Amino acid sequence: MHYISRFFTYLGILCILLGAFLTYQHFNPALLSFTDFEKPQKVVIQHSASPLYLSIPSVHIGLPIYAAHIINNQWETTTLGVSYLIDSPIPGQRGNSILYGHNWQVLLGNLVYVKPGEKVNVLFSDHSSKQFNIIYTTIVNPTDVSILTQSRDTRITLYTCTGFLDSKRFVAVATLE
Amino acid sequence: MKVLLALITLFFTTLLLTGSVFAASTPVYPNCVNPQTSPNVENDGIHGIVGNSNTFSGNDKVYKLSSNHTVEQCFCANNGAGIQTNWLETTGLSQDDIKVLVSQGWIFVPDGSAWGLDPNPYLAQNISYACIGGSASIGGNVSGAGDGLSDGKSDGKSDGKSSTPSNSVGQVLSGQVLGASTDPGQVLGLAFTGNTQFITGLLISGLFSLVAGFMLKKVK
Repeated sequence: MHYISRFFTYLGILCILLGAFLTYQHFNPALLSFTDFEKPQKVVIQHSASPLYLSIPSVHIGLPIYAAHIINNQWETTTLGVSYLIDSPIPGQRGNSILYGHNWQVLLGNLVYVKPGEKVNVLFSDHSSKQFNIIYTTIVNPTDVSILTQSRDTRITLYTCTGFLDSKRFVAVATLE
Repeated sequence: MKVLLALITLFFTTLLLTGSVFAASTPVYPNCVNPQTSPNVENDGIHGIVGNSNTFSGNDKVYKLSSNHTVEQCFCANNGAGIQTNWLETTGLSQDDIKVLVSQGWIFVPDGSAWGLDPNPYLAQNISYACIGGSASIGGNVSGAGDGLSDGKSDGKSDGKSSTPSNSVGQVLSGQVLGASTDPGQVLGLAFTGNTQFITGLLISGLFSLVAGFMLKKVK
């Protein structure tokens, strides 16, 4: 009985410590540093004009962009910025470019405050930039993959978790100006 | 002691088994932010709203999906409040299915012809979104309400044009990631971009384990 008691005590302490660390990670605004985002080694995508940095000035979002894949139905995510689904078109090309990120305060936590009409800027590795205009925002279930479907226009679809226990996805759709 | 062990077992069993909830199956409707096809009908004007007695001014797009049984309407009011209405003809649904869907928030419409649909009973589901509107809306606030098929008239009833089929019917490709190099059929959901659920589970499990540990310590 003594060993069982110890096991539960240590397990409880471990769970609480891990939960506290993740909570700290979730809300700590100083966790990310963007001072070196312009360094070439941070460029993961190998295209000539790959997206490097995404900003939404109206909600104070400014994050580096990292390439990501879907492997065995698992979406790669980064804790350092915004993930760009490399299988989707490069932002600014015709079609639907998919970008997503955690809803942590230092990442896309403020995305839920964007409104249609506000601007999204994407900087590229060739120092060019493109501006997008948010035309839709909505909240969907995680199973609603219709938002990922390719479109005839030139758009980016940006999403993050929202809702009770992150059970929903907040989606912002922006088209090229 | 036995009670405590039973509680611990119950707690962890509940954690493992959560997630499966019964729901009547409904067709997949593409989201209005990416409807994936051209609208069968589009018009600007004053529109009626199913489940709401007010009238609204804005842009209305109607998409006829794979069959007469499903129609999707995307209404964007001039104030930027959007409402997606999913229409489902009740043909083929049992009374129990209808009851379940109504309990889930679907609105039962006894006669679809009042909204430009076939003269059959329909269920309608309203989902809010935000869009770029024009001038201020007329007649009320759209937020939290839903809309139905409309005819641009202020009576809230349809002229029947909105259900006219076109060549785009059946071209909806929901559930796929077209153009992606990965197998589109394998994409079953969106990325998990939050960990609140995990953190909450950890903290609750931690507290529960600590309490269990202390209680077991007292047991001789």
